[in-house]
Amino acid sequence: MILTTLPTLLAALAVPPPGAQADSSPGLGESIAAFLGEAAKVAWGLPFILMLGSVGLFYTLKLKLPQLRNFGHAVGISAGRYDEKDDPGEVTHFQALCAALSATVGVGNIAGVATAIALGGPGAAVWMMLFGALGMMTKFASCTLAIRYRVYDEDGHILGGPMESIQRGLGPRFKWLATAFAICALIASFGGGNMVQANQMANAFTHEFKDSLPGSLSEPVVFLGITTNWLRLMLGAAVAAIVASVIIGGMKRIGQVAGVLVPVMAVFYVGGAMTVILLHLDRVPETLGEMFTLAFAGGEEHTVVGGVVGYSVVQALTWGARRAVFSNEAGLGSAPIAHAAAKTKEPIREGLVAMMEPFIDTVVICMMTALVILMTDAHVLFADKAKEGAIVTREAFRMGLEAAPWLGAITVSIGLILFAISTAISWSYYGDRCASFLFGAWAVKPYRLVYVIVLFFGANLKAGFVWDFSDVANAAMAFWHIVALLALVPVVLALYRDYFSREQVPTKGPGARLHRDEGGTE
Amino acid sequence: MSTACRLNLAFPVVGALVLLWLRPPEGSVLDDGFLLWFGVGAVLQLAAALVLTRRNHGSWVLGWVLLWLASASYMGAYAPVHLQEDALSGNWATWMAPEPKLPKELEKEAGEQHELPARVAEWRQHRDEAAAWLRTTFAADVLDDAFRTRAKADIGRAGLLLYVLSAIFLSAFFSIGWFAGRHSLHEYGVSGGSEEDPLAVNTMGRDPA
Repeated sequence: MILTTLPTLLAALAVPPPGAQADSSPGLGESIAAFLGEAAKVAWGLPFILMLGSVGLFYTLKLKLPQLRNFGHAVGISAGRYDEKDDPGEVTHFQALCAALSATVGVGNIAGVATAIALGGPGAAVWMMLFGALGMMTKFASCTLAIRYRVYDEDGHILGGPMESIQRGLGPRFKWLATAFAICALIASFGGGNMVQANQMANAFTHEFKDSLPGSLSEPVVFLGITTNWLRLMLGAAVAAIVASVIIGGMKRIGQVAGVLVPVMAVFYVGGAMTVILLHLDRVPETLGEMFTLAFAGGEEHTVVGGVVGYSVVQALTWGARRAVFSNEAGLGSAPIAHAAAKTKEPIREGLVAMMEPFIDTVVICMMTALVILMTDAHVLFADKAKEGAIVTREAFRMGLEAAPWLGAITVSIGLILFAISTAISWSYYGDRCASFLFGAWAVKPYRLVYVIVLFFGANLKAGFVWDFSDVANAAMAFWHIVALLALVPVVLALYRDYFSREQVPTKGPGARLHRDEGGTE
Repeated sequence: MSTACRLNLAFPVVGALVLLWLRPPEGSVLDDGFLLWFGVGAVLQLAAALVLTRRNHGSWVLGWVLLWLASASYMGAYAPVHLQEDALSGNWATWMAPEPKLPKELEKEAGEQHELPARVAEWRQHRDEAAAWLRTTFAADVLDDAFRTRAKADIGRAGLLLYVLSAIFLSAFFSIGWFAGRHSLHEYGVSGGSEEDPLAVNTMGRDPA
């Protein structure tokens, strides 16, 4: 049954060949895609967004703005000043941060921002930034709990994250909640971290080379029921092969690769965005003014009942928050799985390291992308490509670098490749930990195999479908995770107060030796 | 009665009053189908609040399940308003949005390199489609001032409804988290709740002080 239905289903979800006529009666695939589209709209509506935001706001107020107060300490921990060689764990604080960052800094930073702005208006960029700031605390809490409740699996690898936090923090009665989270996270690992990455990369490449490709590469090909083309098939296979070669080495290899890849790709992409912004510096004040006005007051033509309840504000908020969470994953419960592997005895330390993630991802990188798009009006000119956001961003960079448009296109294309590969690598770890939790350590290898196969197919499916699948799956895992974050508030608060009641002595850098000479130890 | 129970009694009652006040009038694009879902959710939340006033294991289980069901019903109430509002205001925004302007330098060579004029033509087509949808939905022959006033009023009402339904959903969902907390489990005598001290020794965590 499945074998006979699968090709039909895939065919319906595949990218239609140029000039293909749409079937008048929707089949199973179209119905699933339509259902997912509506479900994504509802799941990521205002209630869900406010739920995620208010958890971050609660921790922000309760801990008195640690985003600012503890930022310097978080930088010190990330830089390795508090690393202890003998601490339990598999990777350093920095490697854990990079592994989690490589998952979060992905296509969302390029394509997601464009989608948010094209569908939610310029104000969406401001809400992205604000949700990034609130997300810092959601991530802090979830990663603190991940270290507190992590365990070793049968193979001796660390198993941590919301599933362990729920099961061990709330007690065995809530094992079903932990299982529900793990199932949703396992499914979600095939969405945002996998299919979306391959798909957006393939879309950008197809768009980039549509005129210069040899005819044979862009001609429609039917592969296992999917109508696609050779370029997409080759890209899918290449990404799958690269990702497979890294994830086979487990968390240690992922941490090592991410530790190199993340700083390189962040500097490369941010450098490109900074160049565009500097070239159009005169437009920055106007763009910022437009963003903030539309974020809080709405456009004059859309404002209905006193600004804040206006439609454009709700649209800006929901789309901004939706893509912010997609990008920084705060509240979803994915990143704590990577952070759980960090070498540390102090849960709060890893929480503070994790807090940096939404800042780097959303407050810095997403905002740069947003400025480039808004300064060039690409979100209006390419509004119909909103679901394939990478194209909007690519055109924005091309228009922004007027003297050398090819350079803009290359910046986005290379950024997209690096972001997509690194994200796919890290998300596989999230899925394999969930597989290990659900079925035992034996399930990890079969999971990885399925993961790379889905990655290959992701490059050949419709952009709308993969985004909607990802949105629904992400929302599903977040619901269970948020229950745990609310129920375990006292644990996070107790750990935080205990940590800062003790003197924190660095092991490296200024101050370290002085304390040791005085006999001070941690 | 605990504060959490009081809040679970207050939110559905206040929410019902506000939603009845915001009920779409005759001729509105929005329909009042959400009230049925809200009604079910409100009854479930009120029942949960009353059940949870009795502090025993059975009450906790029943109350917690009722809160989950209430949250799901509130999402059900949110969905139709959201989808109607999405269609209405999406078309409105497209119709009202200012036409994109091309940078002068690109305009000259746009035909060869950027296909921007074609993009602008497509954008105009989307605007015309949105205008047609609005005319059909409001049964208005002309997009005059009276039409604009009605459309704005509907969008404003939808926005308020979304905020109110979201606040009510949050009250139920946050209660789920509150009643799953260690203090609540202890209070209701729910066995299996973690009694572990958050600062106690962990298999891999720091040693106890």
